[in-house]
Amino acid sequence: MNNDGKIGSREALTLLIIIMTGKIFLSFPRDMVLLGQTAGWFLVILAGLVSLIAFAFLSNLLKRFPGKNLLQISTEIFGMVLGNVFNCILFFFFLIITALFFRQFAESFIISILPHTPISVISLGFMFILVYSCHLGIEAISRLAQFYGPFVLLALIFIFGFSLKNADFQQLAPVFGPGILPLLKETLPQTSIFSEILLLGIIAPLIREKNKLFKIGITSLLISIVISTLVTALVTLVYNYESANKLLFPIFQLARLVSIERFAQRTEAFFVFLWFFIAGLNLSGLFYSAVTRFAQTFRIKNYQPLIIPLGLLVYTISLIPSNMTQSVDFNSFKMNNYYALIFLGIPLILWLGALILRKGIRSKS
Amino acid sequence: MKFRQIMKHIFSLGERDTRFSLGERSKQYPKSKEKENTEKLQKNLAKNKSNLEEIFGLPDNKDIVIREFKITALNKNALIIYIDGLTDRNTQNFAILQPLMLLASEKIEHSLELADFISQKLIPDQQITKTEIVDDVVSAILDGSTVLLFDNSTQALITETKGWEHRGIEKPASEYVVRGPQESFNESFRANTASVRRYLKDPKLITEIFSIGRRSRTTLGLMYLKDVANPQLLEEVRYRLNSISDATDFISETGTLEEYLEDHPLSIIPQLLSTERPDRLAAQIREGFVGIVMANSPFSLIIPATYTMFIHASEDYYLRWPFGNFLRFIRAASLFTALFLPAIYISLVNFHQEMIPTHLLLAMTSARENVPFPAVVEIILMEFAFELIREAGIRVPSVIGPTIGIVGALVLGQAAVAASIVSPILIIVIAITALSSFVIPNYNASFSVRILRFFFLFLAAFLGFFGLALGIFLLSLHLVNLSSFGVPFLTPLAPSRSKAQDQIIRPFAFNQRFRPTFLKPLDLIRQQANSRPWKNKKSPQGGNKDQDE
Repeated sequence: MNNDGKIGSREALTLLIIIMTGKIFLSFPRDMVLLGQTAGWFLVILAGLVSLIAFAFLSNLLKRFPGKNLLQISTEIFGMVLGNVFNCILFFFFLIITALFFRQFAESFIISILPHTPISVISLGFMFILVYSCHLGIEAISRLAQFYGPFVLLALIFIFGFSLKNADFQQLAPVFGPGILPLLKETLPQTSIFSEILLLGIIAPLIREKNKLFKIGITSLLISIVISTLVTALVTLVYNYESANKLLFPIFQLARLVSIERFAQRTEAFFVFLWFFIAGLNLSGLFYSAVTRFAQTFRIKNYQPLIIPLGLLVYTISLIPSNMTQSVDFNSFKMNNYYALIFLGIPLILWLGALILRKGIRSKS
Repeated sequence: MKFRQIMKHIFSLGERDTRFSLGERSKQYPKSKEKENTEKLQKNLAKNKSNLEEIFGLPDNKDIVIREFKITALNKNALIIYIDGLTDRNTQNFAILQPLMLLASEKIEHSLELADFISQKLIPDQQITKTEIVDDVVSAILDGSTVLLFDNSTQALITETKGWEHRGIEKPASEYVVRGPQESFNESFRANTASVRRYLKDPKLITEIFSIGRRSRTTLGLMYLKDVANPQLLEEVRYRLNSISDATDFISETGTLEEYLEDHPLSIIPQLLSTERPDRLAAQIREGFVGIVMANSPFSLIIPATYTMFIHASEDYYLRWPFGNFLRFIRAASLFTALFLPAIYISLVNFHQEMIPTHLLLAMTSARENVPFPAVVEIILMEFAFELIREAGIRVPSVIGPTIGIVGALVLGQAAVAASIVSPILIIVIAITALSSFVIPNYNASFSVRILRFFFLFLAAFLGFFGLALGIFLLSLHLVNLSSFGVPFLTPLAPSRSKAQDQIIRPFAFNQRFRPTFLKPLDLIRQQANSRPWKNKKSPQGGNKDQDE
């Protein structure tokens, strides 16, 4: 799959950030507040620290096997069968994550601007994007990410800036929320927030500057941690944790508060564009990963014919939860344990395997 | 079998075109075929004559003239053959016939061959070529030359006597500027190449000549700077032109040629820039682009094109920078309104009324009160009416042209409001959209905008801002994937190029040090780092920093 196009380092960086932080527009801040109460933001930092460790294993693996993606690495370490098992796990991970986010993004549009539209219509709109973007490949997706990146950042700063005037810093107390121990207990499952960094392991061979892999990964991870922490903190600041955990899409509520005196009020419909671009890029990247995982597991050279069948699969899975809250619960409180397991487990096992079986290029130190 | 094919069409969406790019993905070219038709002339004049008569279909073909005569000085039979109407009579009479028949009294020099002797001593015409091949003779005749054949020689002399009726150089019709040169290309190939050369008096400016189409044999000039233009790009352009020239039989205009050359013919976006201004073409060629000038076409092509070129105009640099930039901003804003204003209006009115300030909302509703149609029907009706006016304005005889504007726009709009078919606010929206679409400086690009406007309009009518966002996302995915001769369409933006300076804001002309890097030109540096040396305090001699690098 080396004819999928090439990605520049800045493109890869923005794509990774957008894919990792896309969930802040969904129920993510609310979930954090629900678990960590006033210390939701601290929980994000803790989870971020753990994911930095997991990322260390991942980047070490990519350094040991230059020019290879996770499938090639795992087959080289454990052989064909086990390698494919790992790849299958990754496929299901990306498929389910795509489907659940697909549903949640679609629902968020229904709630925010199109209350009378059936979910299937919105989903169909997103399906167009998934099929088209996946058809064009990761090169187009990442370029688009880089193209939209500055605008997205600007809009985020805009929302942040305008909601700061409603912030009340006393609402962060008590600082450790439910106490240190419950926070630490929640840390491991919540590393799933940053589990999409595994995408780096998939697009690594396509990135032009091979020596910048670590830099790309660590920068994107750190920026994502900062953004996620800020968002969680801001939601707690503006709405206190009691009411914040009753808001399904807190960022949307923040955007509703944006107003410039009497000139511009209720501008949330404009933020639909921001939502949509984030959603489109996020889902495209995840769906692309799912499709290519499937193609590579079964050694299919051209993944194009798989796009529509897997798209239908995503569509169907996304409709399995009977309503919005069920989908959110399923994603954030049940599946996240497995996401975290995959995110922490796969790089660790592969790294240990490489170390014990002495595969790959050993690092100079 | 048929079922399988249908399924294949549904499921495989077609391969991505990765054949050519200026980067590492280039391919080897198949060798171009050698010319097969190398039939030679014979020694016998009568035989040559009958051969040519057969080729041109004489005596049925009355355009071809064969004039037989005797070269008095040599006492030899000769003939000239040409096409009536393509040649210049004066040159023929006074530079070929008169000297050969009456004036020549030179003695024959046996050291020279006959053809050489005639061309060197007897014919006072400025451009003469010798040939032995029948095909060359034929194409020379078709191109307006006069061919001289004489007895006892296998060689013919092609005398340049082109002189057909053509239009003079006029003002540009679609790319008018207030400040700057007021001339445009016309249908004459030589006038076009000369116009470009007047702006770029550089010996490295090369004009390669191709002939496109087996039947039309349209002359086409490929113009570039030899020490600037990327050789890979040139090779690709030559390859495509050569392939077309054999494959098709008729191309008469650069508009048609554009369709043959494009990377993505299915796209709605133009991927080559056409311009009718020689100064624009010259400016782009000096940047490292490749220009195509064609006979019979007042529009030249610039290869490759990126998005910036469609919103830039040559006037930006003829005006001082604040004025040029002001124009750029107006243009960017008008591009936005031309594309999205009707769509935004429809989604505000149909879906997101809460965004409209209360007073405006009241005004809008009261204006819409009497209108029996939904807003979508209204807007499509008016857009259609406007497109009619626009198209009619071009087709109508020029005497009543302005009347169309008054009748169409004023009367129709006024009457439509009075009859409460449309609301007055909608007329404002349509009018602003229409005006903005005229601001876009490129004719092709304004077509894309016109069509895409309807696309966005329909999406917005279906799903409001969600539909609009969907449309924008799909369009930007398309743009990101688009390429023009291997150069990504959105280039200085995505993928980003750090050295790109001239995008939306036009910098000082003297500060733009580099040519566009995405072209990978042979010579990246356009001007020295400090082209205004008297301002540079560090090196009062006006030293050239580039020489150290």
